Amino acid sequence: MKRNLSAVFFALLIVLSGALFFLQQAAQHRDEAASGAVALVTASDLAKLGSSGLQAGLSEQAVGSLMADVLKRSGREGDRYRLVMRTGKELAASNWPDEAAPRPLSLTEKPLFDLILGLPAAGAKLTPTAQGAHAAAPLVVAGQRVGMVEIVQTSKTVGPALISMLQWGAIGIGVLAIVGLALVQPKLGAWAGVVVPLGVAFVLGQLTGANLASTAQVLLDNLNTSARAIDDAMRAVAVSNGLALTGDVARLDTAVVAGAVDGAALTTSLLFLGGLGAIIGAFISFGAAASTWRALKENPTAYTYVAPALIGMLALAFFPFFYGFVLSFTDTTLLNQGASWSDRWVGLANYASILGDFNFGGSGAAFNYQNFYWTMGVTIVWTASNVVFGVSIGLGMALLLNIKGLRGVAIYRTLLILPWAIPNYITALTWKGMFHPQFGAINQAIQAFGGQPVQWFDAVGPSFITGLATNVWLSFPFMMVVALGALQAVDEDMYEAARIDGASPWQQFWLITLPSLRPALLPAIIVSVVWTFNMFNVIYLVSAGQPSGANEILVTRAYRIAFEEYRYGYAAAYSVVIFLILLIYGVFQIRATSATEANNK
Amino acid sequence: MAWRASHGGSPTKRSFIAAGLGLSGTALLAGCGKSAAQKRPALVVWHSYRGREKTALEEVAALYSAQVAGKARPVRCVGVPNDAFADKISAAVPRKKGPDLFIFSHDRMGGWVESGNTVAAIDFFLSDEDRQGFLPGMLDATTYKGVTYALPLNFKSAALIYNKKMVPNPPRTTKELVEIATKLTDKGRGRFGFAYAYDDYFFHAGIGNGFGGGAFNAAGDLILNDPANVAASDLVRKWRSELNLLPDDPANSLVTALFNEERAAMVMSGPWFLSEAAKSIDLGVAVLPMISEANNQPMRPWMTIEAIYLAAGTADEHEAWQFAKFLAGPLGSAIMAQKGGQLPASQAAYRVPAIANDPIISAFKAQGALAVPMPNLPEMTLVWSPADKAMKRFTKMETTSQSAWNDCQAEVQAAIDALRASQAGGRA
Repeated sequence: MKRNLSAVFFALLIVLSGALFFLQQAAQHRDEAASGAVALVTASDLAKLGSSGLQAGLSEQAVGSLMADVLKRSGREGDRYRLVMRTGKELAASNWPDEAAPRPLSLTEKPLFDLILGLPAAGAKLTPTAQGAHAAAPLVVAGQRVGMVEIVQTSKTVGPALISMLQWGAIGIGVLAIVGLALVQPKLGAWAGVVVPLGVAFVLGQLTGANLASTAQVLLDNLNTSARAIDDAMRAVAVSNGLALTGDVARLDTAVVAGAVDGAALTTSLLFLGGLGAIIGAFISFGAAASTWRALKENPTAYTYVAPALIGMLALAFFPFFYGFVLSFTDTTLLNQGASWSDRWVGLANYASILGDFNFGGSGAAFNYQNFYWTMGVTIVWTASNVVFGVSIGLGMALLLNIKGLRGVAIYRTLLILPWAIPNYITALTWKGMFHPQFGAINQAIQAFGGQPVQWFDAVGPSFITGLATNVWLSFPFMMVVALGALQAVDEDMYEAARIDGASPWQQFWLITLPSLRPALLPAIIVSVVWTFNMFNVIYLVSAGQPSGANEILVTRAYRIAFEEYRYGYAAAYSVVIFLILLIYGVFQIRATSATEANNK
Repeated sequence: MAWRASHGGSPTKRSFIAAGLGLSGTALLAGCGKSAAQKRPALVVWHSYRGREKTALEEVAALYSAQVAGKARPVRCVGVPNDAFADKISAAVPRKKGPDLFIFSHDRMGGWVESGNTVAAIDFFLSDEDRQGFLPGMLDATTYKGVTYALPLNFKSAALIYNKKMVPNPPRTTKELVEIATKLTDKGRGRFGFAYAYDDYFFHAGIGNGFGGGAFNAAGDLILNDPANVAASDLVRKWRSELNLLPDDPANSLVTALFNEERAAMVMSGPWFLSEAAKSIDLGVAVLPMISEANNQPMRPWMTIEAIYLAAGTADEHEAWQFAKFLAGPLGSAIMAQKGGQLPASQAAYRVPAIANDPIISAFKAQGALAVPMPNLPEMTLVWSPADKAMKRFTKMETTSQSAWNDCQAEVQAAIDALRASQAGGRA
């Protein structure tokens, strides 16, 4: 009973504190957008007036006083403005208290000058600051940004609360009712910790959405009244000074308010929060929390010893993995890294685009080797052929080295392990050199025997062979060492018994040697498949996917998407797909292996 | 970050936000804000120099620190590996964990400007006099959409490097080049008059630009399959496959090896080649030949310009600027040229006799005057890999230049569209 209550308590704590944070942020964004909308209109109107004033040959000071006039006529004298000119780096006009103008900008006022450069040539920019909404718009003469007008609006617009007190009360009563019901029906008690957070989050989401929709129009009408006043004042000033204005009356539409607060995203965030709360509630109410706590209390020393490794794993393995996983649901690229997560969120679009890529080219165009399924096919052929050759050569070498009475075994063994001991990128670059069509050792050898030189990197097949040869060279020593170790453990008596029974050497190999090797070789093959599947160095350094990226494998393709196309989100999704393929392979492989192991016993 | 921090801390409309998540978020943001405002005891400069360039930079830093002792903070140079440099800057500076200044080539600049909060504009500090202190065109490389973001320090561009024993007089036109090369080439025995990494788009660009092509036009549109680029490609195709003048699969390592074994008389490469060239070879540097096939227009290789940037959000921009100006100015550039072996971007350095009279420096300077800065648009990085692929396709006669470039144009344009779409979505 106590456990169920604390489950509800902690789940609600999570949901409510998170929801309050989200709602406060949303309200703040909405109010900032509302205050900012007027500031934006003011800035762009003043800039429009200023631009036409400068074009008509008015001095910068005269333009400054026109701006002051507009603010006065529209009753916005509380707004602070600055007129900054690019040439001369000058503060031309200002109505900030204790700020003399005109004068050159001081060194500490560089941000004002930089603002001119940072503004779009058409339009204005809004930055909320502690003092109030801060908007700036460029003065444009002959297509050049010659200066800017900056508005800081000290008065703030405050909209109604997103959830009213009445609604909060209703939610509270609902929660109490469910808890009460759970107390009366002990069987259902444990589920309260799941139902309450989900329900609260859902209701909050629905209410916020409804409230946002109903208040947006009211807010907007107020804003448009203010904007109209500024617009009218500006036109009046323009007419009385004989200035011609271009463009339409500034008008705010629902997008201003709607754009500031994404209602759908807010609802989703709240639901996620509800899910999180439900997980925590379930964790407590179904007893997992208590048993975890008991385990911790019973084995404090063990957990203390494990803690450093656990923290290391969390920080170095799980966090990057989780980050990459989240990244894969965004369209993060070089250009929008700074945007918020919700702006970059695209859901499953990356996965849909990767898995739904059926553009194979053809019909006039070249074959599309960038296609995901082609790359996946190449990767699978690459992995399979490497493992087949690696294992057979490794096994063959191990059998040769295992011959009784062979002289110089130590020397052979050292020589054969060498490819493994040399860093693989050095080996890869060496092999690349050996495959050079004119100066490479391989073509020279072919020519020495009277053959025709092969253009190794010009066609899909030969180029694939270059990578295969290099990787087999790199991988057979590992298989050889594993097989050799296992061979030496095979009981000699079995061969003797087999010979007495008249078994041929071939039968001895298939019926004694191979089955004895299986426990050692299978894990090695599993590991080797994963390594080869993601063998970046060899592909990248030897053939680099030539020709036309046809020999790219999934992991090198992901690298190119991330670091040559700068589409980080897409590359993350690509990596997750690679992970899933290997996960599926791993699960099946382990099932199959444990099945055979069980049969042996 | 600053305004968000102040929002989190300021009294807000809702008095009940003192909830767990809200509080921890506020504390986190406030923490970030505080670390940004802190002024370090020294100006930190990140660079990727090694060897004598590093020594020269440290000398300039020490000289500057001594000059401003007591008035401004000293400079501390921190070496960062070159291959990780740009990504480290992109990751660290917007999070206020980066240096005050950093030295890097100009080609990543557009990306930093577009992603924001990485590099600071310096037009405010830059006087007309400062501008005139640089060789013509240098500041264009560090200017993006009309705003200057860095001071050029040195430049690198490919030129014609030749073995004086084998080629007494370097060719002035491609017609002469082909004549000399035809005489010296015996492909079967692995001897070449002229070798360069012709299937590498970086080196090919000199010819493409000479024909009037390039990767982007002035408006920033992709023009890879422009007729000028196709004509330039056909010329290379003719050299390689019709006249059989060029080696197969020409990696840079192969070009160096051929030159050092005196199997290649002339190569197209940059100043970095000089340290790889065998000391026994008497080599000369000349301006790349004019293209006879393009009305004797000069080849215009791409130039990369190393520049010093002010990191966005540095504690004292003016102080940082003063070191940047010192390093790019007469004293700094002369030290970097003489002791660091760089080709200075500053006019003043060439008034030092030892620099002005060096034939190799003079040749590279003359080539630099003809070179064009590599585009600093962020989209440029998307061009490299597909362009190299296209180069390999048509040089190996797999397809025509036109169709190779058409495919390449489509591929790069799609990548650019994907990148821009993300930006539009993110800013909406």
